[in-house]
Amino acid sequence: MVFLNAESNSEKVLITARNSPDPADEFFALELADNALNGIELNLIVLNGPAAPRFSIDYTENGQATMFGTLKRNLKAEEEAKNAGLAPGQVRAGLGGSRVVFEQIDTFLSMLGHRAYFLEPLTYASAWVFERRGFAYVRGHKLMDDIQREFQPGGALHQCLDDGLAFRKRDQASTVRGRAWAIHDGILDALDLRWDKIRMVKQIGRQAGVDTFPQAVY
Amino acid sequence: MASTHRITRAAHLEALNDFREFIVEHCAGNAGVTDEILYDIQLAVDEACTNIIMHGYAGMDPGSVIVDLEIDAHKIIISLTDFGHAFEPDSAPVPDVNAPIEERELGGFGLFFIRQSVDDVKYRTSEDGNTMTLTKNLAQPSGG
Repeated sequence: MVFLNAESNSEKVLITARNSPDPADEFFALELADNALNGIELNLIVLNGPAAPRFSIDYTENGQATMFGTLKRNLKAEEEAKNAGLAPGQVRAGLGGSRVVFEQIDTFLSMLGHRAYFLEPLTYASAWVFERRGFAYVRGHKLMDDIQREFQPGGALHQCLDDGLAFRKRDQASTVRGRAWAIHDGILDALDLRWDKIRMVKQIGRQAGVDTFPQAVY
Repeated sequence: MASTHRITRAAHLEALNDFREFIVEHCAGNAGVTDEILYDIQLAVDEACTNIIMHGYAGMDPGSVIVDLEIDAHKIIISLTDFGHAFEPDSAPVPDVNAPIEERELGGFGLFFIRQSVDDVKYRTSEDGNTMTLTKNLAQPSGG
């Protein structure tokens, strides 16, 4: 089932797809919106493998929405998701189709006469994926460089990893997902920084060539 | 035949050396790129990047600077793109280079040096960022 939500007088359009009547089975979601400067914001993109196991990181054990772990956390579900190889914010393993989707977004927005679009990555892992899809940073490129430097042996973030902590194990420094879970768990407090206000831009038809984690293992 | 190259870094002073090395790597040794031309290009790119770092991203966690370089037998074209605050070169104050040194304002010479160092400067700002394009003509071999 595919749903298109584009209300009149709204600046947003939301496309979702799911393979059952249950909204929890949504495996595709894409929300685009006009911004105040006549640009385009990619507010939401979800690409989940519909048959992959689901982890309820989006609801607490009391049934309260967590906003993908950003407002509240379901630690038990998050730990299970982490152990299953997911990144923070994911309820299912990814579909692996982001390259195709971003090519389609580029084509669609180019036809509308736009030259760029913007997004705010939810997690370190999603920012890393968007780098590979050709995005540059409006805000946060230096933060990504700082994260890369401080996760090296001897760095401030590397020193905060401890095998006794579920989301801060020592081997997490060497992978995108591992770093993302540690950042989701608040490790940037060690640098007096927060994961917020990161903003990225995709110039249509152009690969920015950003690579803040060279030779990264996802 | 033109060759094109790109480097993208965070808008931070630590990146200036990467930009300098990038210019040398792709310009030095090319026919028509004399030591003087190479120096002029490095100076212009250094000043333009410093402006982006110090002013374009002032007050925000720095974003990216994308430097594109295109070189052929006749010219070098360098485009610097950022996503920070827009800048209006035509409204920038022109420094009084004839004033006694003790009376000169600090700063304000960046754009002056850029214009002195290259043959053409263009600036464009739009929804996809701010781009300064610098063109430097190369020395041509004498006829014969």
